[in-house]
Amino acid sequence: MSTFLYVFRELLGSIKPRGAMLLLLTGVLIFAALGAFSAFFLFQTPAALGSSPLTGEEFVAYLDPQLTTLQIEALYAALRADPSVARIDYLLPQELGRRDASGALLVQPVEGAAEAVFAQLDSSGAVFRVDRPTASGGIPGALSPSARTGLLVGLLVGIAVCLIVARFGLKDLLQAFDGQLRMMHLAGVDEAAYSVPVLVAGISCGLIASAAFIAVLYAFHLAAVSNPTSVITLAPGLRSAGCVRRIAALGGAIGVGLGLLVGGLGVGLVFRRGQKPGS
Amino acid sequence: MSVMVQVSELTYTNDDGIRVLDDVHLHVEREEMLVITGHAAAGKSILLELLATQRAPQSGQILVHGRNITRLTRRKAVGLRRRIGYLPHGFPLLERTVLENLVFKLRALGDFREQAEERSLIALEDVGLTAKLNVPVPELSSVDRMRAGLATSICNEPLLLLVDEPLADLGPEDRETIGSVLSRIHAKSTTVVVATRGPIPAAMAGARSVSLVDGKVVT
Repeated sequence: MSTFLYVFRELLGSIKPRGAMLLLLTGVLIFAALGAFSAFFLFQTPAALGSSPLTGEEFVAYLDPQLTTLQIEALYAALRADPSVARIDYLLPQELGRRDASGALLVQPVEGAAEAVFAQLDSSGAVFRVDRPTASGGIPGALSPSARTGLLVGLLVGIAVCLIVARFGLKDLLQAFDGQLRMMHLAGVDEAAYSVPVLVAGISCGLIASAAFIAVLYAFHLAAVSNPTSVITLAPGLRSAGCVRRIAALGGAIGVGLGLLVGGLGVGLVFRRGQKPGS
Repeated sequence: MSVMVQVSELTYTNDDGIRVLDDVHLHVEREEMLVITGHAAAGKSILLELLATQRAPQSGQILVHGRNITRLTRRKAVGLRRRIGYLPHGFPLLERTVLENLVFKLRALGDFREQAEERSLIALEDVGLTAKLNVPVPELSSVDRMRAGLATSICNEPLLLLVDEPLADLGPEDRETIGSVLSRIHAKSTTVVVATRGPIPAAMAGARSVSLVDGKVVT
């Protein structure tokens, strides 16, 4: 076992319940910060996400309850054969959880063909309602400017609180590890041997929070895709795989960055201890 | 014999503005044993901390093992500490067994478990604590705790051993015991510098001694 792993194991082994709780809380706060961050993108119109209106976006067409099975199959086959439709799925009324429709078609048009497909569905007479995103940002789930400001303030306050909690947690951890630190300092152990494990402990907080955030994000994404009419679809970005991928990548990086900040805070505390005379 | 420690014109003023060390000149030969005596707050501990690179010098020159401490970079100072065994007064060992304390230090210095245990056993033998290697430190007597501290300081085979007040709070018999342990360590080619309020145990009678009086070294 390398010196780093040995010292890291010793560091984790010396942690007291209070320190563990505070570091766990730090991870939860990073997770919450990532959640707030993702809301900026998930509750936006596709236009704001950088894609043109409707392009490549799915919409849900609710089928008239009077339609027969044969009529539904014919409509499904026609749309499937249509080159302007990239993907089509049929959702059963049970899946929709509503009795006033003979099910629904989840349609994803090809690039630039969204308006035509939408018009075709609208004029077919087989559909009584279509949920679709619009360029005006009028879809349900878009954040109001005041909500966005509130979210931004909450995010910044959350990060500040996270760093304060992390500082207390790290101080607790280093207090419990003080004897080992003193012994290593006196013995002439390379400073990196005890500062890097503290840095890694901080990064781990961010890494675990990021992993949890990405897992939850994809769980919601899968739920939104498999059940487009659920409450989750109030966050339109959740139905777009590309959007979710971008948020996961960016959120993961921010989480690790926050973890790095927490770790850096810990390293600062280690060096401050080392500079005390006699320590 | 060559010089292990050379101190010239060393002056140190503490945070309260009191000159603790005043133009100190001192030299310690390699494989020599030196006892520095002096009353409480005479500056013995600060002098040892300076020699152990635990405190930055203010003025003067300190050469340890041929290295000028006043000019050492942080990294080089850490490297030099590996050659110095330093046991400050009241140094708290980890609340583990004696062996685990030594193994921790050696493993943190890069030894593998087997190697660390082997070197620890040798150090414990040197201080006569092999029989209590699995006893938790809080359960040790004062004299055995001092032995454990000495074993921890010498387990990585330093060239120079600096011990601050090893005889404090010990009875006459225990002082002799620690004195003979220090003499035994010295006999194994280790340069030893001991700071104490005195008296010097008979087992260390062969050691050279100097006194710190009013911040100056008196031979």
